[in-house]
Amino acid sequence: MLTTIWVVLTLTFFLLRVAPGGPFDSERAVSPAVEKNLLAAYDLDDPLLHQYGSYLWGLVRGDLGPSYKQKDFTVAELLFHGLPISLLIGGIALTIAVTVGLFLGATMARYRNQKLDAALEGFVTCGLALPPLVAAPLLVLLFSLVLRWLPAGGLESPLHLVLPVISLCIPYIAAFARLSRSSCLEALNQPFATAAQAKGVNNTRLLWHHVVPSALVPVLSFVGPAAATLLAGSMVVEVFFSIPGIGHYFVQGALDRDYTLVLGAVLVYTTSILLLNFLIDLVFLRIDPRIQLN
Amino acid sequence: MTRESQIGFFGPVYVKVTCGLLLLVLAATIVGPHVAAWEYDAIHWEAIGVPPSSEHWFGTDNVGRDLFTRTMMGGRISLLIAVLATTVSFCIGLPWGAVSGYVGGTTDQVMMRIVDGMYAVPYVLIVIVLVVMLGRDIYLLFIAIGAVSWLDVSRIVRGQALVLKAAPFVASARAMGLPEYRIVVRHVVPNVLGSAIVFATLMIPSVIISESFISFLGLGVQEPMTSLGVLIADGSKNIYASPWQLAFPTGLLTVLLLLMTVLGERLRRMVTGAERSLV
Repeated sequence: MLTTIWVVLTLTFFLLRVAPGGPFDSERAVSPAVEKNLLAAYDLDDPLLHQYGSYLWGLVRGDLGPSYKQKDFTVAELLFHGLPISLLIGGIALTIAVTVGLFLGATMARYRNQKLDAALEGFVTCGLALPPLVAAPLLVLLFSLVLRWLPAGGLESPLHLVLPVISLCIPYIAAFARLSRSSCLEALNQPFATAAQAKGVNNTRLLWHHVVPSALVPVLSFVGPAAATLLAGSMVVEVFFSIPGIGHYFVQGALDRDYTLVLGAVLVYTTSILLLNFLIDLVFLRIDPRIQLN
Repeated sequence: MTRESQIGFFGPVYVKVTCGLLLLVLAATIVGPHVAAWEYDAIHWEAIGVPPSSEHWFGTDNVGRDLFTRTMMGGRISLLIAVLATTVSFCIGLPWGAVSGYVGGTTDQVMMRIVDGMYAVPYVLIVIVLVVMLGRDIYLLFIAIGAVSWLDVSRIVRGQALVLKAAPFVASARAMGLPEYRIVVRHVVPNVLGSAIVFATLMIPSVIISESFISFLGLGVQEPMTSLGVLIADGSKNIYASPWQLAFPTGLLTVLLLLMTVLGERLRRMVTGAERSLV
């Protein structure tokens, strides 16, 4: 796990530095003397490997360095400010996606090849075609401009969270629904399902007590990959709705060539994805008696 | 084989309708900028931020550029980048998967572990870092997107190559003493090509999303050139004063993605076969 983080950070560090331009480039060129002082103040005039070493050493001690563009803030301060907001939005969206998706998928499996299944399948296909970048403008146009029910941006009340969360989770609801449908169908085809049916278990109980629990593992193992792609969506949503989360800082950092801020955001992102995957593995141990630690 | 594959791809009415609509939209993005009365980057000082009218069909933006021309132009650029990026991912993924699957052994292990490792990395981060590194150039954008989206292609191709490796004609080619690289290039790759191309067309919508996403964040296509992501970003800054600036580009992107996803689903179902008749 640490290796993955290290590889990603190293890659990012050097890729960023290969790029022409730096954090102190602007429309009006600063005089060479000023630029030299600026670079020296942030140790950017040291040899690259030396900078890399001191960055890693700082990291070990929990120091992410200063932000080059957001004066007076360290990267850690910015990220600690943004992290709870991003986690809240991403967490709610992911939870909704898994539960609603599972429910829809199980329903589709129960009414397989009937009208309800076909109708839901149509919705799922549409949902897959609506990434946050499309869903967010559509929802804002409808609910903020035409109907005037919900605010179009900012983060002042829980009501402000509604549109960002919905626009973030639509494609994931669809993806989880499709996945749940096929893994429920697979479970339905197994002997234990037939046995339960033969025993006279009614359809609803068969679905929720026998089929869904065994279909849960493939569904949950998609949570990790889903979360990794959800990052992109959360950046769009944070920028679109002007929410000061990590995505916002990452994008700003990338635009400004604010090296330390970008590296810090990459670190937080990678770590949270890996942690999530680890947590899911732990959950597997709880819910599936077939999986055991060696 | 399933019933669906016997009817053929264009069987159901909805597929014909979707295909027709998609062709219409594609034609509009290709022809649109030429037939429109305005240039996509021409600034009209007398018509700044005007709502849709008979003169400017989609209205104009905040510096007085005709939004119909710009939206069509944006659609064209987004599609172009998507096709090019898919080609790039294809060019990397196809040889990678073919070699990995055919050669097998340690080579296969190493090549596939590299792919697995890259899956573990949140790909958006890498695209953004690549875009920052390569500069905000439209010609480099599709290379950056292609460079991270070849992973799926390589997996599919590897699976196919593993199957082909056991095929009699490959065995006979080997018995004839053909060199390995020649077997891969002349016998394995052409046979994998069909399914790889189908998969590549399925990828196009998601690549359009990636491009729009990067341009939306301001890291992709730069002014005065435009793409759907750029237009949506601009539109989102003026939603109250001029909602049409957001509505039209979003509309085009929605229509494009919906049509392509519906067709892609149809294609996927035909290729993978019996998804619907599983029980």
